[in-house]
Amino acid sequence: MSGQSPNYVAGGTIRPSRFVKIDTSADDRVVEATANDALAGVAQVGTNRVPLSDLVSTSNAAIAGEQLKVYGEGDFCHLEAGAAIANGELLKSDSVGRGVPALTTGTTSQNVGARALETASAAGELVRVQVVLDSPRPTVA
Amino acid sequence: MAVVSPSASNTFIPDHDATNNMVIDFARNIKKFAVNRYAQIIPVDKIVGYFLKMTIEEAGRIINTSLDNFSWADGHDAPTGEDGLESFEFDPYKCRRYAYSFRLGDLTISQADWNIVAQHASIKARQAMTARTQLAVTELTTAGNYDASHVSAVSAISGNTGNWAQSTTARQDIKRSLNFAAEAILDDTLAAVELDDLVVVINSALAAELAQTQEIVDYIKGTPHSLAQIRGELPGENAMYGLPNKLYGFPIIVEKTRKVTTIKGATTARSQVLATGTPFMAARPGGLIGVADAPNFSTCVIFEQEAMTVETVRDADNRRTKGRVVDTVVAAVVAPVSGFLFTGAA
Repeated sequence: MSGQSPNYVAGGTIRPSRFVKIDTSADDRVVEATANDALAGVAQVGTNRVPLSDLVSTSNAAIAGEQLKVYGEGDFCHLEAGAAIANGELLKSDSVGRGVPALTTGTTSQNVGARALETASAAGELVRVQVVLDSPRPTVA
Repeated sequence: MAVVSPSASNTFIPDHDATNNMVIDFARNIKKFAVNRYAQIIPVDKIVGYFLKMTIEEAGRIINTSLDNFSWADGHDAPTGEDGLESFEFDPYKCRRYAYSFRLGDLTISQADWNIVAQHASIKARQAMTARTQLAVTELTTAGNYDASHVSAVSAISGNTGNWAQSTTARQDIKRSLNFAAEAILDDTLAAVELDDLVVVINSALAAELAQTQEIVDYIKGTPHSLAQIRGELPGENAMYGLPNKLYGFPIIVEKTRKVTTIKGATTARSQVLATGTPFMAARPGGLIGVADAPNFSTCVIFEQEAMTVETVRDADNRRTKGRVVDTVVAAVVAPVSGFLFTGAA
């Protein structure tokens, strides 16, 4: 059973299927996550503009001030991979909001945003995930 | 000139009436241009617009042979399908208006022994069809218009030894090339394109070369057409090249349109619109006129806002007649994965 995600407005440019985090500068807003940020969910897969190949060169889910769907706790959605991902791995954000495997050893808490339900072989692939918001502390190596 | 005595051939002024105004011209029937057989016409109302292009993946996406990712256990929430969407894009087209014009003075028209206005209208219609052929061929022979895996030098196709003209019964390079292209098209269209929809377009020089290859000679030898081949009576439109209408199951269209590439007065240079070395395979399903709001996988379409309007207007003030054929069109390779461009074929 999926959880209910609040309605959010973009606080900046957010690309499709990227992790988002709470925008601390304004209420009810999210921005694209950076490396190991605490996460709010995953941005919608659809784009905010009609894909006119001759006029629109960038694909964004939303820009500042626009509504967007954010997949929250328990939701199933697509997430853009930032590296190779194994099925079942817990994922955190890389520097541009893509999903990368959370570290399982070390001293830094890992802000997890999803669990991979498929395997991705390289960055740029869209992998099916279930949103899982957590901050597990890895085992100290 | 000195005065002469009369004879059977000098007692009248020779004129055009002597032949009943016979005109020697090479008026090619515009319906015979091959371009209509490998490019589909899409009538459009606006000269600028977009067509919707879908990616072709989701309909065939089976990640696991067990289909586990589609399973739905009793009592459980149904799969949401958030990850099951196909991608799309709007690609633009932009028609350009072309005018193939002529202008004749009233005196020229009235003094001419033949219908010079109608003849020029006909000439301009053929010029327009030649131009349309050029538009389509340019698009269909531009490698950048295809996916990278849908362009290949003939000799680079795995198993081939040389070009088509060098093929032998043992090499089978022509057959292998056509099958290779068809497989690539089936792969990338998820087999949506039927083999019956594919045509192979070659120019007449390549047709003549193919007909002389050992591979094709032996191929025809083994078909019921062998006797007709010897008699020069092969059925179909390719008889004059010694080729059957279909080769290995693929219809062969010989694009024989020629163009003149020099200005008036210069030594005339003529060439084929389609180069010998760049034949192509294209999907051309359906009738000549396509439907704008239905799925289409014709490799090349001609968006047509105005279809070769023939106009003649008499300019009374200046005592002359202006004529033109107006065509507002653009050719585009809209389904690049349904075609294949060969290079280095001869």
